[in-house]
Amino acid sequence: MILKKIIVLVLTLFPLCHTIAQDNSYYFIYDFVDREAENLKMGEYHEWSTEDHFSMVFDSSLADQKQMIERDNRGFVTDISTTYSVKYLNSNMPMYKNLKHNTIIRTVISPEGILSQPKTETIAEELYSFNWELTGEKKQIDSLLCYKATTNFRCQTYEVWYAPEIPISSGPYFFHGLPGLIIEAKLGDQDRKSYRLRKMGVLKSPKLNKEKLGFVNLDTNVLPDHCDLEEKFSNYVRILMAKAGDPDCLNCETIINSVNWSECWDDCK
Amino acid sequence: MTRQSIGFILLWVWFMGSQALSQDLTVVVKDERTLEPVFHASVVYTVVLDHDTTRNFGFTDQSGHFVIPEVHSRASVQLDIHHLNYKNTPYLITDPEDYNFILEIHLPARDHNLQEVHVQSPSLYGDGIPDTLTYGVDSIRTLSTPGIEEVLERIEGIQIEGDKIFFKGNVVSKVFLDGVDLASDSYMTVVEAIGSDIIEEIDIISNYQSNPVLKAFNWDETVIQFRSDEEMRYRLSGNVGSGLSHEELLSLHADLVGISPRVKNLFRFTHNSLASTVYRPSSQNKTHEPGRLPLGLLDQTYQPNGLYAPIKSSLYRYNRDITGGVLLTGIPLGTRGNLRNSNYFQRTTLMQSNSMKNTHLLPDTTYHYSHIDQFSFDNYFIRSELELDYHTDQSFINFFLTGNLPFAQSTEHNNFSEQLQDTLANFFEFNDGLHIDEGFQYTRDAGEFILDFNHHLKSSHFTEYWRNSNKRTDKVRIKKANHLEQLKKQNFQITNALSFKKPMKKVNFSIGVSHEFQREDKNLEIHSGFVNELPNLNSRSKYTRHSYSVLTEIQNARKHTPLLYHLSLKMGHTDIRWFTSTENKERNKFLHFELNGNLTKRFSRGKHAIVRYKLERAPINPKTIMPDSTLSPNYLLYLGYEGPGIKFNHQLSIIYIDQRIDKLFDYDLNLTINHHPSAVVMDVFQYLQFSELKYTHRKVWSITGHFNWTQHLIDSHWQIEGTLSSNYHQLNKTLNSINISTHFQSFTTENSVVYRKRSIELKLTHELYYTRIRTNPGFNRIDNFQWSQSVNFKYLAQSEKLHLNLRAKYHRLGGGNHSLPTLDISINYHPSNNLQLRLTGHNLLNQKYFELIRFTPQSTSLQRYGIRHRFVGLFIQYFFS
Repeated sequence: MILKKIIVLVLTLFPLCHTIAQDNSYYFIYDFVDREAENLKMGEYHEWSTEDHFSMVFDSSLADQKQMIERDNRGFVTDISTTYSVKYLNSNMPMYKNLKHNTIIRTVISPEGILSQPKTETIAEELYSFNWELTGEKKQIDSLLCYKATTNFRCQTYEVWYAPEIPISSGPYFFHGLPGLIIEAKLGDQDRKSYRLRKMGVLKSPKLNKEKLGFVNLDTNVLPDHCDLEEKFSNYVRILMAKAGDPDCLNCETIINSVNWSECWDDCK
Repeated sequence: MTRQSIGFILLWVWFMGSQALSQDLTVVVKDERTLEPVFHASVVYTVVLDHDTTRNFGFTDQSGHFVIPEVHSRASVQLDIHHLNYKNTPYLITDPEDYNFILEIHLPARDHNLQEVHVQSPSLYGDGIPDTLTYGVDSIRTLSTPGIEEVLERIEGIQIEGDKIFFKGNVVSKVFLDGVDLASDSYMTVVEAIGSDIIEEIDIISNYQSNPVLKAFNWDETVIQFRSDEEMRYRLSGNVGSGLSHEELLSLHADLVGISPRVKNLFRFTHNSLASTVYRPSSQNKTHEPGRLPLGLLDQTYQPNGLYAPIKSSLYRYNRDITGGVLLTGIPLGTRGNLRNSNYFQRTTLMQSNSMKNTHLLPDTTYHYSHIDQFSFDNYFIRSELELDYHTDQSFINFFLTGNLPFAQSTEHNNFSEQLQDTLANFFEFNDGLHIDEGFQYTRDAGEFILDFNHHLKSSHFTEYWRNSNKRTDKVRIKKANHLEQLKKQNFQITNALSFKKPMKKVNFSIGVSHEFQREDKNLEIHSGFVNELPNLNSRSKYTRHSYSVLTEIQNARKHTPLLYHLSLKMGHTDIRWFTSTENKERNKFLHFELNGNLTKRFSRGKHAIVRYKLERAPINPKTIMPDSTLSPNYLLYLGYEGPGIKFNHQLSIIYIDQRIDKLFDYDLNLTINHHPSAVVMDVFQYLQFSELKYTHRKVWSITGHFNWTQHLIDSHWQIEGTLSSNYHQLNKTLNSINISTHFQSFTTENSVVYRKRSIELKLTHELYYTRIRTNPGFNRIDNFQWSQSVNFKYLAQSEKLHLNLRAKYHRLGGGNHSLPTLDISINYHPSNNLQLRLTGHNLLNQKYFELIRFTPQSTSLQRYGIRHRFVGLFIQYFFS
């Protein structure tokens, strides 16, 4: 009789354990401050599951009613209550990291979109391979014991602090590939750009839908690489240069200086 | 074999041997149960060989393999394997050769999710300590935020509506400037005048409690503190404005804030003919009127006599010129104290006539000056107030000296809410106009020392006699108050009050009764109360404060009006109030019942859960209630829950209308859902009514729709708003109201990339209303006459630094002291950092006159109103910092 009960109990709990082990999904939210851009502050929201390595980046402050972005018909930010410039539009775009396919898919502003109606393009690139250097330094951030690692990304040195007790190999921005979740990331000595984890928790139901966001099946669709757009960007910059000085194009020079469309970082000049 | 050959062979053997000793170590990670390979498990390894330590990491591939290169057979390898779905598993391998350099590791499944993590401090945006959020202004300020008001609006959770600031839905009660509360309730005057570059940090303090003894408890109060740079020299910021129109209508005003590390100043000045008054610091002593029953609960139901005595009265006001200014100065004394004083002056020319009974016509010109000094330290203060009033008919001087000093001899009875316990005062007034008040007050048990001197010089047509007296033993206090006032020759008013209070060790027992009699209308009011309080402040863990009170009130406003009964019972966190009246006609019999309270559960680290409940049955009196969208519900059931991380409100209203009224149909639905902090807000409000009431000749059609959906932050950026309303009112030819308005706004991310919001707004409004005040026990209502038309047009130019805002608005509001009818055509322009130029066309509409209408509970009357023609002027405002 007792054996029967044990068998029933085991049979009942067994699939439950299986379910728990397979459905671990989490979300995490980062705060971001860019001190170079008038202390622009934003947030990033990520979802992560072992089923589908999912990491999407959003500017959560845009959801705040007080800080809606207002643009003109060319897509330029015009609302003076915000200080976003075109340079930072990329960080507002959703991003999809897939470790199995070693691919990152993201949305960028199309060069045609800048000149007329806002328009975006979805591109796929190989997942950036970060060369992390573990320093062994550690510090406590609230309840988390974090270890320091450094890397070079796009010709800049980033310092990050990750927590091995959260075995999610991801982080803010493009970062990933450490044996723990990145809790803090900083650029430069003066912390010119800083990310800090604000919250992380269990994801009960996914909020993001990659198909709706335009991230189609990787196996059936071939997406352009970002570098494929370089020629278009060059044309765009040329047009802007031609307009510089025109009374109708007061901000052209600013935009030219702020836009860095070439993301094919072959060398660090 | 030569030596060289032997050497070469030995070298080769050593080389091959060393090669054989170092080999790649392959780690295969599999699921313990299914033996499936585990993908992307992180493997952190430390290889120790002869005191050399190598530490690195990597991830398993899709076959679960991970290779550690070049591991010596004598090396020890420590492995730390992490995966989201499996338990963290450390391994130590001391002899890799035994495994043949292939190690298969089976990971047990993780049986629970990772713990939720909140990284709270230090935040990137601001440092947070419990209950206090600190924001560095530099991190928020931009070119487009010249004033601190714009900076505040950029802080998440801050909302500014009119003259109030809300933080996460809670109204901000005070705004401190380096610890100094300059303008009390009118703090927006300070906020609007401070330049953002003067302020260094902003503190938002929730759960605010100034009393250090009570700081361990939860309070709802939220305050904001601006902190300036300590090394900053004196800085001035503010705005000035002027307006001019024909017929000598003009407006000049200035709001200036001066800040230095030692002294904070707020100066406001106005000179206008628009009846716009300057902010006036209120005397905090004038609420203690003799003749009022000194029981807190009874005070709530005390109605000024004028509400019941005259059935109908009218007040006509003409154009008035106001010149005035206020200078408020605050000097912080360390972190615990401050010194504050105010000087207020106003000259008012008021043309008005009044048909209200028992009230004489007010004079043309009034001069008022007041001076207040207050020294505060921790929870204690001493304050002196001086008031001088002069006008053609009467003048008086008031002087108050009040304090709350740390002379408490008993720590068991720290009833800080009790302000005035013992009063010894005599008031004399003579026919020649000399009026002298004098009083002395000392309360020992509550830890207060209050010294109250009144010198009241008055020249009037009235005769008043006030007398307060009390008897006190060590444990019992009896207070009596008598008030006799001759209103007219044959009309007088007598008010008597008696209270008995016995403070005991844990119980304050109070009982009081008062009655009021007025001859001409034969008013009779009897108030009686019983209060039993159990302050349990010493027990912090339970957070309870029980009080039981029974309050009865009988009012007989006039002979032919019904008696009104009022019963109030307070038990712990639950309030029960009950009103009823009797009258022969069954139609007007009504009952008001109200039950509300909350259950509180405290958790560790200051968290708490509150369940609020409210049940209300309000009267629907068809003769006195105006049918509109804010009709009081007959039954209201409210449930709310606030707990750690969540807030939920649900409200259900049911309207029930007396069926004997002809042709009345009503439909109401309220649904409110709040969810914090992920900020899901849903608000649905619908209202539909059709009425045609014969005996009042009233017709009502009303449709109101409201829909609001907000989904914040971690969700998909949705916001929907919708409003649809259409009203038609006609009541006995005195009320005409037509209101048609539609409003809809949607905000979507459009593929989560493009954020669109049209920046052109056009808004038209037209309303016609009239004013009346209802004073039924249990609820008061004021409806204003208003006629408003507004046109809004907003255009944002492409340049970031140019902000253009066009707006046209016409609004007329009568019946209140602060009604300022305007035609508001404004153009805002932000050309540079701190300069904000606002060009506004105001309709300097002179209020010819309007009526103040008073109602008795069961009657209404026909009113008249009139307005003069309108004038348009220009108004320029310059904000500087």
